[in-house]
Amino acid sequence: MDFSITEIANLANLRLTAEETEELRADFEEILQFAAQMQEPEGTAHDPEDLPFLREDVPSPSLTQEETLQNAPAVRDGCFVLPRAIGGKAHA
Amino acid sequence: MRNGEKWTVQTLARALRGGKCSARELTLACLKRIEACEPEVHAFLTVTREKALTAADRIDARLAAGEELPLLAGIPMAIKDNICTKGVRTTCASRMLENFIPPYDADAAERLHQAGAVLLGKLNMDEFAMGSDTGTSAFGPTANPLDVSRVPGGSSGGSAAAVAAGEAVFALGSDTGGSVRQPAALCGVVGLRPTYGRISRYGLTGFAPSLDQIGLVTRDVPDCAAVLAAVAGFDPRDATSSRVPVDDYLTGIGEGVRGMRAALVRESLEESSPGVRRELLRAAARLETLGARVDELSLPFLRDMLPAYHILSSAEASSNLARFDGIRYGFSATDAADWQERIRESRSRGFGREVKRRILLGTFVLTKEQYGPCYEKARRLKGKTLASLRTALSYYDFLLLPTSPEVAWKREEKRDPVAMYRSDLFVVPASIAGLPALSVPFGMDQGLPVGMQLVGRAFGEKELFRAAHALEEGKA
Repeated sequence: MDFSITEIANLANLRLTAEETEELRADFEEILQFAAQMQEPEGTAHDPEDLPFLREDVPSPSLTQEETLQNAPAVRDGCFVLPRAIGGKAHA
Repeated sequence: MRNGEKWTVQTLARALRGGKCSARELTLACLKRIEACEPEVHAFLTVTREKALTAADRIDARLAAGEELPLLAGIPMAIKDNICTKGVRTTCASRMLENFIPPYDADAAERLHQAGAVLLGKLNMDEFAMGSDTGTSAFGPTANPLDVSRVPGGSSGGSAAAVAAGEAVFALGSDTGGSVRQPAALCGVVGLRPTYGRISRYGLTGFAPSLDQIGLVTRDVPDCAAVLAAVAGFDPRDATSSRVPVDDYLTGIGEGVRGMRAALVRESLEESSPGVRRELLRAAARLETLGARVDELSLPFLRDMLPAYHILSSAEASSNLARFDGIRYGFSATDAADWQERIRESRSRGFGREVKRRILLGTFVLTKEQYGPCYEKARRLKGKTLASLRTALSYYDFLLLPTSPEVAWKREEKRDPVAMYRSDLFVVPASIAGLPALSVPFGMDQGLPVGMQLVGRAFGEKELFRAAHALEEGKA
């Protein structure tokens, strides 16, 4: 089976050590084997009863700005602070 | 408090109302027990001593004023650390959330609070509920209080251990693929995974939302019925919450199993250890003696459910845990040079090995190449499981199978990966089908408790309680 663990790690925003990469390769191969062994069931992938209902689109009480920001690593002027998206150089 | 483990919600509620003890005394007794047991058991990640005593005093004052209070008022309990508790640290046993203080209560926590139950603290678990032995917690493992060299099961190992040790009268846990039932079985207590949608998931940190369900750990079946009545109910904040009315679960719980039809799952006989198999057959015979009819039923797809479960749950986890970005809350790699590195480094350092493994596995099965052969195939198997179990349960009142194929194993025992994987074999089908399932202690093997599992119809918790209570009473 041909797949790139590094590519999958990039998609998941994770950095892996060489050892972890090797372990995962074995894991993935195992899960592919298991998946191949599963019976091929008939029918569709979606059970209509799975669909959740949606609540009415009306405003209701929610967290305050202060509560929303209380666990943030860095806050300035009521906003989350994050490193600059373009041009490198950390901000916070 | 040597006999703390014999206390139940029912007896304590009577004692409180009869003036035989106060809520403060109960809370202090539990806190003392926690102090004595924790060095070895490590079921708790946070103990909220002062808050608990304040809450207990408030209940005592209301009782003294002659107020009629709900059954759970003044009863000390604890909550798994992936269920949000306003103002009380909620870590998911992860470095990622080591300092996270939720600004809101989960619906189930709020309902317990309103019922007057006293929160003692937050319970250890496998990191983000991913594991079967409470060994992946970033803050160290929990031990089985019945034999501290053994595992308590997982992922709600802290919940089961705290109740089994007499540190709390009952506990909330969460069950994605057996995480309440399996530890309950290994620690000799009762564990319930209710029907999907019965208890709101609002405030439960998502692992795999189509499978996640808050569950209960109690000392006996009537306690489980009493706690479910308090925490179940419709919640508009959870789109999958059910509007089916909540039953009066305690009424008729002692009516027995006469006339009920049970299906003993044949494959579970083949997959269990000799001791567990013996107890399963004894439980079936017991039910027959009590007037139920027990047939053997084959569920040939049982073995396919495990890979399907791992594929579905990992896929959902990969999507769910994408929210941890080191910016809004949780661990943050503030030394990272730029925005993307901040996200990658925060996740790489904040998550433990098992969590990363599952996120990657989930990302993998959702790639264009694997979506069809892995994810979609597993979804179809889910549909098939649901249909087969519905057919079986249109005739039978419940399925009978062990909760775990073996009793609690030693922590240091080297287990081959297949055995570890197989330990979830019997709990996964009810999770995938969203059906209620209860584990009740029945018999012993090698001096350790065995759990029997009863799987019922959607929203048929009342019948499950009745049958499980009959087994529980008849176990002597």
